[in-house]
Amino acid sequence: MYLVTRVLLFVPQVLVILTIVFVLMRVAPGDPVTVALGGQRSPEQLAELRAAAGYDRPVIVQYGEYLSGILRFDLGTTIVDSRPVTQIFAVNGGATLTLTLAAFLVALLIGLPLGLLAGRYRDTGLDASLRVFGILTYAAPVFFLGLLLQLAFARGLGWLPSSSQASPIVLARVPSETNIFLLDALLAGDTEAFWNGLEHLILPAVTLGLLLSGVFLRIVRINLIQTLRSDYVEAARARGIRERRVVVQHAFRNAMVPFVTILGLQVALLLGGAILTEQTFNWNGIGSQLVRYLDSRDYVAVQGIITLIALVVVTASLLIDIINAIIDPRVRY
Amino acid sequence: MRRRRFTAAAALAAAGALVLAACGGDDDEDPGDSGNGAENGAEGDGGDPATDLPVILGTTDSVTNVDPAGAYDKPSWNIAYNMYQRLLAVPLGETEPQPDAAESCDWDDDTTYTCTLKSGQMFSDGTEMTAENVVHSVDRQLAIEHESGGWELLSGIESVEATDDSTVVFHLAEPDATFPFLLTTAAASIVPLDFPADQLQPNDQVFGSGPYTVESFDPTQQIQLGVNPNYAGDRPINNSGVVLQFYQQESALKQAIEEGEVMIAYRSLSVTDIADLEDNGAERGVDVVVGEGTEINYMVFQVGREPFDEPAVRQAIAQIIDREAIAESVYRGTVTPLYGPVPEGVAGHVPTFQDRYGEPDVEAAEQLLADAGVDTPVAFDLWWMPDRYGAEIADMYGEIERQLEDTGLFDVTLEQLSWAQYSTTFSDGSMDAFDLGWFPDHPDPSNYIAPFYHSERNFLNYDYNNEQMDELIDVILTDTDQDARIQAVEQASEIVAEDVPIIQLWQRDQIAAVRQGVTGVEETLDPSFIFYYNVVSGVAE
Repeated sequence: MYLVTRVLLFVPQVLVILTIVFVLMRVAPGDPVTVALGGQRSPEQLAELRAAAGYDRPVIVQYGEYLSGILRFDLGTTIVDSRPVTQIFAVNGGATLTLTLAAFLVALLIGLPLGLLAGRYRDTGLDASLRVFGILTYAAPVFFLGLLLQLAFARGLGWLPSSSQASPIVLARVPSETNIFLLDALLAGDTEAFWNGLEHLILPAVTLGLLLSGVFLRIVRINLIQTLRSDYVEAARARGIRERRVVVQHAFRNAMVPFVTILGLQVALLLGGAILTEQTFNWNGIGSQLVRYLDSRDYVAVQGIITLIALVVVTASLLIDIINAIIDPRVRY
Repeated sequence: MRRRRFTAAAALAAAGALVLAACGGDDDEDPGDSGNGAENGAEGDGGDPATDLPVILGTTDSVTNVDPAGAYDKPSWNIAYNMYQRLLAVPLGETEPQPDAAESCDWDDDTTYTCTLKSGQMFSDGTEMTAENVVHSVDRQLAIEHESGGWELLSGIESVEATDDSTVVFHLAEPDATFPFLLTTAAASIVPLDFPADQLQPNDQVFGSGPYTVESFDPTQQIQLGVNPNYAGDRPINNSGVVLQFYQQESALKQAIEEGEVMIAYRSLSVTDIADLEDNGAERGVDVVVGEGTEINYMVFQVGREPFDEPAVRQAIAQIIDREAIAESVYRGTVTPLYGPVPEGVAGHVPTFQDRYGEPDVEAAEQLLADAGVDTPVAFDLWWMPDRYGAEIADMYGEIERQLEDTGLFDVTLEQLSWAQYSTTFSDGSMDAFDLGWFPDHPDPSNYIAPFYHSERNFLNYDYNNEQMDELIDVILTDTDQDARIQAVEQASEIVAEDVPIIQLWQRDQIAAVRQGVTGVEETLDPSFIFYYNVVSGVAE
């Protein structure tokens, strides 16, 4: 019953988000065509383009078309370069997927063990240091952290490249089959290109991953502390089970249940951070395209990209809720 | 338990891979080579390493369309100049049109222009270029009438016909001495008959008869150009292709050139970054190359109403503005003060403002206003836009405001608008004075006079009206005697300095950052404003 209710709630949730996106784009002054192309076209051409895009119709009609377009997975065509918005996702989505997955991995590798340590050694110097680390990584603006890492590891030490998914000459020689560069390099059997791509991935992934790791660290820590106070943990200790096993196998495992719950919320943080990270590292993903179209005032593209990002976040949230319900039966009651 | 171990192992493997990737580079390598240093040699076939390699050019420019019927912007046109031939072209370092795909071109009479094609000019698909291709190229430009507006350059053509396979005849609606220059623009690129007559060819399917052909097209990340194996023109090709890598931020472009990810950074580096590279670039393997530029920036006055309907007010401003200070303090020497409508490097350039007003002189300005009975301070709004001609524009107008107000003669209110609104507002007469910039279509001086100062045919709609100027513009546009045209340009420049409907502020040098070992860039940064990729070669050190 919980799952059915949750899935049914998905529909109004999506509708509210889509409506907000639509209204926000219409609140902006001027119609999208004039804003994007004003000054570059004659008034007659602008009128033609407005009519062709349907902006001369009543707002409610435009809203209906917007919703029906989404049902058909048609998010419109960009004004400045006539690209279907769905093509932006097909071409640039792979880069964002690569970045967010790598960042998520970095966040897990940093946040989970450090959270475990902070919870286990609560109120010690180690705990205090890790909590400061968690707050700093969460609070530090992504672009600032990215610039610091670029300065240190690219400019200063010269260990890593500072921007793009791969060196231009490498990008040029790897045929784009999946639009996921690392996968394309493997499919092409080009291990040198694969390593080159990994080199380029490190700084952006660490930058974005650090942002998320602070959140993970703090959540794992607090949940572990609460779990360690539980009766069953005390019982385990009373039975003489070693502390390390109590913490890692019993307490940590249960502390992960609420952690899974908040993962859904972190998708939004991850994608929001990805926009800034992509901009900082010239990463050719959806976030950098969003900024590019914002610069060009192409509201059709912006609306389409925000709509799809919103749908991804809502869908991820739904999936996490379902997974949570499966691994923790209490959620269903 | 087994699954958990596998997950942990996978995570560790991935982490290990990331760490290994970080450590995988050769410690002895230049930091810049972390990406492409070694790979630069991958394309070579054992011949001359300098010419066997592709040129990797980083840019913050945006390319819109590489079908010549679908673009009217410098970045797209630059690719067109390297992909297509035109009947005429302005060769490197020169300012006059010379035959490109044509064997010869000449006037039959004032409105008839005939060109004979060279034989053996081939498109990259192996088909031979004929006069029909020229007719097709012009006809489709005029049929498509793309909103970018490039077709308007050819709108003076009444008809064009191929009288035989190698002869094409243009019939113009009225005499136009600049027509040979118009044939040098990318709008007059010669395309294959395969290109649709009434719509654009998709960007990834374009090809021409120029030195290069598109191999892949992603204007958000990278465009690859390969050498056209059938190219039969005169331009030597010193490399094995071109990779255009796009960057959204100037800072990322600067990092890319410093790290050796790109061989050339061209359009645009910030003034600060250029200054840094000039001072410290050599130790990072980067040289700054400066070429003569013909992009100009200028201030327009609304001459039809107060306070600028009084010429003395405009002249007083011309008397005060210190262009040298702007060029040095705001632009750090990356622009050159411009004292006339036609920039240096273009025929007909005369520094008429300098000749007339000399050094900035507040007392002379005060005298001009007093003689005209103008009450001071003269208040006016001065408009500029932050998103069109570089971030330094804000500082420039701050400096101009300071220069004018420090005299006590002017009370300036700076106003700004984004380009989207600005572009529709500047011509409606609501701004007292406003900033604009200009990229020339071709290096003929008419391009700096006719669109600005003709009483009826200027695009500024600012009520400037001078009969003598109109007559001179007619000479500039229609007289086929080049000396007479240049003389008319010089006279027009003197009128501009006297009437001051517009004050030119600077012309921007073309600046590229180049990895040491790369050659040819200096050669192509000439007033034609075309970056010819074929002259560039070399192995980035």
